[in-house]
Amino acid sequence: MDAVLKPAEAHKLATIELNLFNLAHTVHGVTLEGATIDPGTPIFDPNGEVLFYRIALKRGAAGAGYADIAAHTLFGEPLLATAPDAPWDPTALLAQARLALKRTHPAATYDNIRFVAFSYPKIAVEFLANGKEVALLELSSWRQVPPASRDRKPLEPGNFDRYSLIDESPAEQKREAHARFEDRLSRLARVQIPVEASTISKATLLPSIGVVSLYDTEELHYNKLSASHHPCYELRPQETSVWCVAASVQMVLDFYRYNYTQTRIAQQLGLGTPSNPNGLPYSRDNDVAVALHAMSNNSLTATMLTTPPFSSYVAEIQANRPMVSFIPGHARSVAGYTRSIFVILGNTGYQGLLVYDPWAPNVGRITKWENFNAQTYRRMFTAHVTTI
Amino acid sequence: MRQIARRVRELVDSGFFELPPGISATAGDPLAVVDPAGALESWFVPFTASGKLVAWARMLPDLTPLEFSLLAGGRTDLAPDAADWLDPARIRARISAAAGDAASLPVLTYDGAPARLAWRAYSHGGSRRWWAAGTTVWEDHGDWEVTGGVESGSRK
Repeated sequence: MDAVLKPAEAHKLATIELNLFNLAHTVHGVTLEGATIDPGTPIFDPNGEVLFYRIALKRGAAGAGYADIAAHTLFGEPLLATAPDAPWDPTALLAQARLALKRTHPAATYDNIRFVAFSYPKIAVEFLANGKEVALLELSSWRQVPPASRDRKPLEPGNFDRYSLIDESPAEQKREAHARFEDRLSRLARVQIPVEASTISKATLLPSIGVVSLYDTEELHYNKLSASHHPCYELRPQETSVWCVAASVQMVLDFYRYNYTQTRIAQQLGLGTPSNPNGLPYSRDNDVAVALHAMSNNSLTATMLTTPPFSSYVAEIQANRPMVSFIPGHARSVAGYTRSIFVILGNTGYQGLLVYDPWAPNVGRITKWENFNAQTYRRMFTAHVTTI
Repeated sequence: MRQIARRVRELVDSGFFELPPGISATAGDPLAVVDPAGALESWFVPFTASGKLVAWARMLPDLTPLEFSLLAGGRTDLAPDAADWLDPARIRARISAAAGDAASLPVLTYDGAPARLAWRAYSHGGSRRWWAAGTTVWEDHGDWEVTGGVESGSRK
């Protein structure tokens, strides 16, 4: 696909993304239900290419905010932002810009006028004559944006500098973003939506998509072939009120067929005995990695990560590997994840983990899903089979 | 509380909270989970079937889903008796038996980590603190920088 999207493509993407946003947020409490999607206003990069479209949302005649949809794949995601409460009336803004130009450049003449993201996401109105800039006035303040500074590093503009996001983004970063954008489009291809749809409504999507398919979900299974998927992870409850670490390690070792009793694992970790048990001091967190290594007879390579991001869990599960996860005061094992298939700037959507939790003692529980954004993750212990 | 119950129902109906196939559990009334200072931390919604606690949901006060957990991995035969988790009188009696003294009314909270959901009660005039999670009861010896805590009697 091209790096630059055509207006019709962007409008279709906006329709799908905003409907998904609305539907998914039935869980999270924000709604765009009933809003209509106006044709987008092109917002140009200083290099002259369209960078994104700002789409006004309306409920009847009233404004319902706006959404920004990428026109260029360098963003990596189509939906850049939603602003349900912010007005966007391009006609009124251009009228104000013309008045401002009369004040600041009384003699100026022009034959073209457009919106420019002079320092993304800051926007200005550009006046052109024969393709050359006459004035570039920042939106609302109507100050003249100074010419581009040559004396700075790429992507490090000053507070009121203009720069081209397209030209200054590193090529490698643009390639990665392009790949992410394509991946996103392939996921969105699952969503069937009437081409002419311009209203955001749950009813638009629900006939063709279930709530579950809004999520990218994966659990451990016997191998990486999805066709032969079968879950293969078992819960081990902690056998004392303080052996969550031993039980979590037991689950991971069991996955790799190293079957030990929890008492034996507790002994290895120095967690006492069933009649006189204790937890693992914070200063000895890394003992978990050492135990995984030792109790697999050095066949498992274990690593401790500190404050792991959600992507670390995703990467391990996609590699079909379980983990031990420490939260403050407790240990569990992680065997899957789910996440919204959309990502919005400033809003990552729902991210959940499939947690095999050894709590409560002698019972345990499988949590599907634990809200990743409502939990503190202190350590993660990964383990992979050492291969030749 | 009604909002919590309604939101949990919605999440079950949508499939976001998923009970094991063949299990038809009833969602009970939400119970408040308080933090150590006594402030509302979350709402606990039990799912019971044939006297067993098969699952629970926890919701933040703003209706955000915190967790949905299947007890004993969804095996009803291994799931705890609902009363062991939900009947304050039974929980109090169990703690009293372990303490050898009449325990205070138990409060649903957690031991250290919010994931370690448990009932808390005091004995001996408030000088000793106890926890109960199902049939497991233990005495609290204070806060420790450990993952898992320290079991009653193991303090050295």
